[in-house]
Amino acid sequence: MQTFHQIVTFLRKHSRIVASVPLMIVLSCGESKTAKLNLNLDTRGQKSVRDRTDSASTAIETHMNSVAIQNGSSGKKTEIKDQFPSPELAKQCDASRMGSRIVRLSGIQMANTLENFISGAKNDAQNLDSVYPYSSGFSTNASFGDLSVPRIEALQRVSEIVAENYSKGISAEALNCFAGNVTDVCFKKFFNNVTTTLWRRPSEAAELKYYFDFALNLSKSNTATKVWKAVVQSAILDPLFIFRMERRNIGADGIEKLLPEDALQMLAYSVSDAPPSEKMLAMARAGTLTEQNFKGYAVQLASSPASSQKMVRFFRELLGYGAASKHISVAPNLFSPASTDTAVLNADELIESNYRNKNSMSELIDGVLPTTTPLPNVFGMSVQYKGLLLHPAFLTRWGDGGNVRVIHRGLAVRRQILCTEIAPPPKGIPSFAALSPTLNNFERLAEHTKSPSCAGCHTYIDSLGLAFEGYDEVGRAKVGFKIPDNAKLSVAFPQKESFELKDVKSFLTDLAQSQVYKACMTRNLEQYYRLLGVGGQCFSEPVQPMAPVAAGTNLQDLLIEIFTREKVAFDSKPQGSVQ
Amino acid sequence: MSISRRNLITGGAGALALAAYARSLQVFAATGKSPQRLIVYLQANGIGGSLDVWGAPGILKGNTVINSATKFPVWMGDLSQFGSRMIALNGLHCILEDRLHGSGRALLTSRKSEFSGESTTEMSDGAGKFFGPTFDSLINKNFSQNGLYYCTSGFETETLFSSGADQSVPLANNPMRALAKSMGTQPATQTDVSATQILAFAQERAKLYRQKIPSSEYTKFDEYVDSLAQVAKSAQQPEPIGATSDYCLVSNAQAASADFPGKGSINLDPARAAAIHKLMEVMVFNMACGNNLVGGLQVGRGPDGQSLANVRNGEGTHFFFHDYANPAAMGQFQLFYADRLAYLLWLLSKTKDIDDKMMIENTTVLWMSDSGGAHHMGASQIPALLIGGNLFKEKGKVLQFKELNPGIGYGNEEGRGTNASECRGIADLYLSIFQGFGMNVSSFGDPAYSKGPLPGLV
Repeated sequence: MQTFHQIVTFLRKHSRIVASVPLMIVLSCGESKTAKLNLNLDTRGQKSVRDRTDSASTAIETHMNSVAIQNGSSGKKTEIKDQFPSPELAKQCDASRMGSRIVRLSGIQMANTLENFISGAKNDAQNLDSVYPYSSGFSTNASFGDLSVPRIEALQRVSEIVAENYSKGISAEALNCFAGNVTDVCFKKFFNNVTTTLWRRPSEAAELKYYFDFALNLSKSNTATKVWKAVVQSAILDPLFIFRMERRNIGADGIEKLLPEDALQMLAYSVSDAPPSEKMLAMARAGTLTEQNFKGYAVQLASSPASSQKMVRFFRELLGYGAASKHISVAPNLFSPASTDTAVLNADELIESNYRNKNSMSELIDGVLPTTTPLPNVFGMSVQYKGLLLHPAFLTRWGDGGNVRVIHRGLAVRRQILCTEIAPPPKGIPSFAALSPTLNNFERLAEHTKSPSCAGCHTYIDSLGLAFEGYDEVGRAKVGFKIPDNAKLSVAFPQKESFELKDVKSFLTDLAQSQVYKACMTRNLEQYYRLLGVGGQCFSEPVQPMAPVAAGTNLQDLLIEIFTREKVAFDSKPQGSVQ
Repeated sequence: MSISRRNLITGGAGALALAAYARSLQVFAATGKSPQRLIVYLQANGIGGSLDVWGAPGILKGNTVINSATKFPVWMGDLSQFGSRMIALNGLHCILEDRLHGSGRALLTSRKSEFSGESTTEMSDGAGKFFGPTFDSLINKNFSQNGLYYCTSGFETETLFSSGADQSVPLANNPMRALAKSMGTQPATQTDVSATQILAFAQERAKLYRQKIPSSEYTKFDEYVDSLAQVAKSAQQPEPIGATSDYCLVSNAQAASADFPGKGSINLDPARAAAIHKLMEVMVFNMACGNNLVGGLQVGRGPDGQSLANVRNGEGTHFFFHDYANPAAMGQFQLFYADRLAYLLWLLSKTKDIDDKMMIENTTVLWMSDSGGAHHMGASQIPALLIGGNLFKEKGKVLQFKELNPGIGYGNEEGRGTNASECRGIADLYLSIFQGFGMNVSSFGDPAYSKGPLPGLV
């Protein structure tokens, strides 16, 4: 059983924390004050979420610091789609997500698979995690290939090391496979030992023949040890190691169903970043896997330490707080890198505890969070944080700092918690930073959004950022702070829900119980874990219509629900053609 | 211009022993140290009796150490620019009792199996007694202990130049060949299957796999296919004979001479100069790309007078290297070889090493003659130059050692020399190199004449 410290150490070592944006609704910035919502269907092959997130962020920074003169340019997408999503889009998205697909393993998943193959390989492969940081998550368009040359080179290096280690312990019997009258019988025995782990299945006849011919040819001028090393190295570079498949059959009932073996891989890799157990795979291959077995396995995996690790990683990416130490300049009097790291670890701990103990996911927004990491000692005060959005890790990451952070903070909440996508601002708009420093943020934003081209988007952003103005970066209420009477703070939302923001704690309570938060979290989890909707605009099936999430739903159950709602061909061996 | 390893690799100008390179990177990354490299530039036809008779009388007097950075003899030519990196050694002697012309060779022939190479003949007292491990084996041991293989780029220019450019012809008398062999280089059957083969196989597998996936998945899968192809292309270097073979030699080293600023005496024999340059490129690029730390290059081959054969009606340089009365003529040939050495140093100064320093910072070049046989020069007046590298801190100096019978040329050598404290032998130069490499060696060769590392050098 891994300790929490081990988990956070692992995360700190392996996680690249970046701001991330689950995309749900695209708001285009237009010149009209009545900003319109639009859903912008992306297609495969276009820029990844990460790319677009980065470029949007850059654009915003540029926008905020720009002193350029507004040129009156406007976005073209101005129509409100007050549906979630539009029927047209849902249809297109459904079409795009149905059928079979391939999914690349992440660095961690590759490393864990190699560790199953040969003990210690995980260490040899640990750099894959930095080279292949995300196969799941918001930060990459991971259902796409994302296999650039450096990544293949990295895998090649790892394959050589792993294969070398393997060849050192190879049995005499395997070495004898190429002596005398060579047939594929001996080769098959040992090759399938290799593929059962690396490819998660025995080789098929054609694959066996291909590899056997390769090995036989090599054996003419190489020792058996070198031949096996080459075979293993090739098996690691093989697409069957790098990708897993999600093959779907259309059953007799006309319903598309995942093949059980693939469903198991989807489940295990997604939830625990490791391949499924041999036992479960054997059941799937034998056609004896049942819905009950599958769900039981989902429960088992979701309660594992590896799953906790992944959930913490999910939140780090979702809220971006892992990067808090990079933003302490906004409050140097309150923070040091060490104290910020402590705050980050504290947030990790809160999430891990909430997930492991199956507490309501609402508590992460409005609960008084228990802490074991002594944050009050760090900051010399005693504060009980109400939810992650008033946690110092989040507030530092999206802290005020007296400048543009108020907008970024609003964007973070709008995008990550409410799943509203805000398109990058147009070029040539007035600089926020250039406004008078004597104004407070309310006044400065009011000034900034006088421009029609700005008001459209900022209507959806600013209130969420300003709502937190009454708190400093460690979550303490600012003494004497009062939201100006003339400030109009509210959150409009297409689903007709709206929130008052004059009291941020009340807002958080409302938010925690809202359907939009729960649906958004469902969406976020689906995108992160299942790689559905990656590309940004295609909502997965459960969100359309918005899946009701019961009060008190916890993340573990929600995760299990996500992975067990898809149809799997449990009751029979695969029939029909694989799409 | 800086010649990067990448340029080298993609330009097809050198051998890429990927595994070896990765291994050497790991070693140096782990230690945080720069590699120490040694190149022996061996002028087999003799390089004169002393620096004095090379045409620069007066710059070296007695035992005085003189800063000669600005006083190079004319024959130094393009080498002069490297003066601040240079240590000149003068007045060393070899330690072979049986010193007469031919007898050393006869000894070598009769005892061939016991020697690692010609340069180690001084390990014998001439009567069957050997004084311990050879230069080669000591160097070998040192590198092995550091987890690095060692092999050399030793070539005989004459072979390359006149025998159909068969670069893989083994050398008969190149000491570095023995050095390479003594490293226990592995036969081809023991090497890993090449990356090229494995990547080619992976590409074939990818093609087959692609047929099984939905066409809607081609976009993402093809990035993998394309990347695999690019990695495979990068790996398609000429099959190196290099780090795990007898010679660190590739077949297609591209001459970079066009960029060499100093042309010097190249017109004396342009074809030979080009051939030597090419060999230097192979050697330097092998060192930069692979893991070999020691290289050897032999020029001015043999006693048969064929070096620079177009000189003096075909007799070549042989005559002139005995003609101490005509230092101008000798100097002409020395200038030729000095300029070739300048090219080697220029290459080193333009090629990045694995620690991103220029190769010249890490590579000590030793220019000397075949010092063991004592038949190519006055055995008591052996000069040597050490240029560049990090073996020795002192630079820009001439170290003068006591000469025996100064001025007496071929045929009158004192041979074994004297045990006078100020007289030092080539063996002590080797000893200095060993210690420069950090090897725990306190004596080398005949212990009666091994007096420790050369003063002023370490």
